[in-house]
Amino acid sequence: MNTALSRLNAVFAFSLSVLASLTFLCFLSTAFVDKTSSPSISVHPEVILRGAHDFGLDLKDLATLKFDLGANLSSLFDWNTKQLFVLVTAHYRTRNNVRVTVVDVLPVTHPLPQPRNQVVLWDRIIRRGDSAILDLRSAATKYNFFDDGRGLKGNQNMTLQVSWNVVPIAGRLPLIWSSQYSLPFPNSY
Amino acid sequence: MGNFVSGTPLISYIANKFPSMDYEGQRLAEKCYQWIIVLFGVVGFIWGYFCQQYIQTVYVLGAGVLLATLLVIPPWPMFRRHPLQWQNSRKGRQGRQDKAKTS
Repeated sequence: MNTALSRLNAVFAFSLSVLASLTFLCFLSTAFVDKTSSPSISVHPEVILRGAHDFGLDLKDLATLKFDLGANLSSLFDWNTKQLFVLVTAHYRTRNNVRVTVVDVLPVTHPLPQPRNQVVLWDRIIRRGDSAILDLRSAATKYNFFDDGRGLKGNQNMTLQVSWNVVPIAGRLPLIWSSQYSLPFPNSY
Repeated sequence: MGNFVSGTPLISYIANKFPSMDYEGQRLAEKCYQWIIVLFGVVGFIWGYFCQQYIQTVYVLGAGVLLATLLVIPPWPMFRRHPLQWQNSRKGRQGRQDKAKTS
């Protein structure tokens, strides 16, 4: 504290400690806030299936679909929210891929289908200040919906789910799943 | 009275040009910056919660840090009110004899 440099050092270190404490308090103030919401999703009836090549010799199932998505996620923005990452995911079971995960062993407390394939069809980042109201009509999927075999044709346990990461300034990064939308797939290409 | 700062020649040259705080001044300076930064932090926290924007908290805290820096870093006269009372230097033969005895 006897020289200007040592005082500068002390002020800087002290202010960083205060900033860290405030950030922790900010995390505490939002740690128990409910991050759920209830978006609605529906798919137009015409799901188009075809076989396509995906880096290989075999034909793989490729689905094309259009969906509506309505959601008001404004309530998820509080002072500890940096951005939201919203995904639309398809979950389905095939004979090839029965995956046993921790989720299947432990008692399930959230609405995830159990043994599953998960394919992300669409996503969007909603930053702080952007409109958090999603109103998609007949939106095409952002990513190709490929199966790793012929598992899509006639698949009856297909479900779509909306989920979102609430990206905080400080704290946990929760991934929250909405309810499922059931979507039986057609039996023909 | 300058104080000795070692290190990079340019920095130590500049630093040694400034007078230093006395002990009481250092105590006062430390209390000053701690109170200012904590006060601005608390006010900024409340303001940021009110606005629901954490960046506002950071801005208010930043203003407090700036104020504390301006107030505390330069050795203002208010931090130099209690200079150390040094013993007068001894001159002449008497001083040299004392030195010889003690050493």
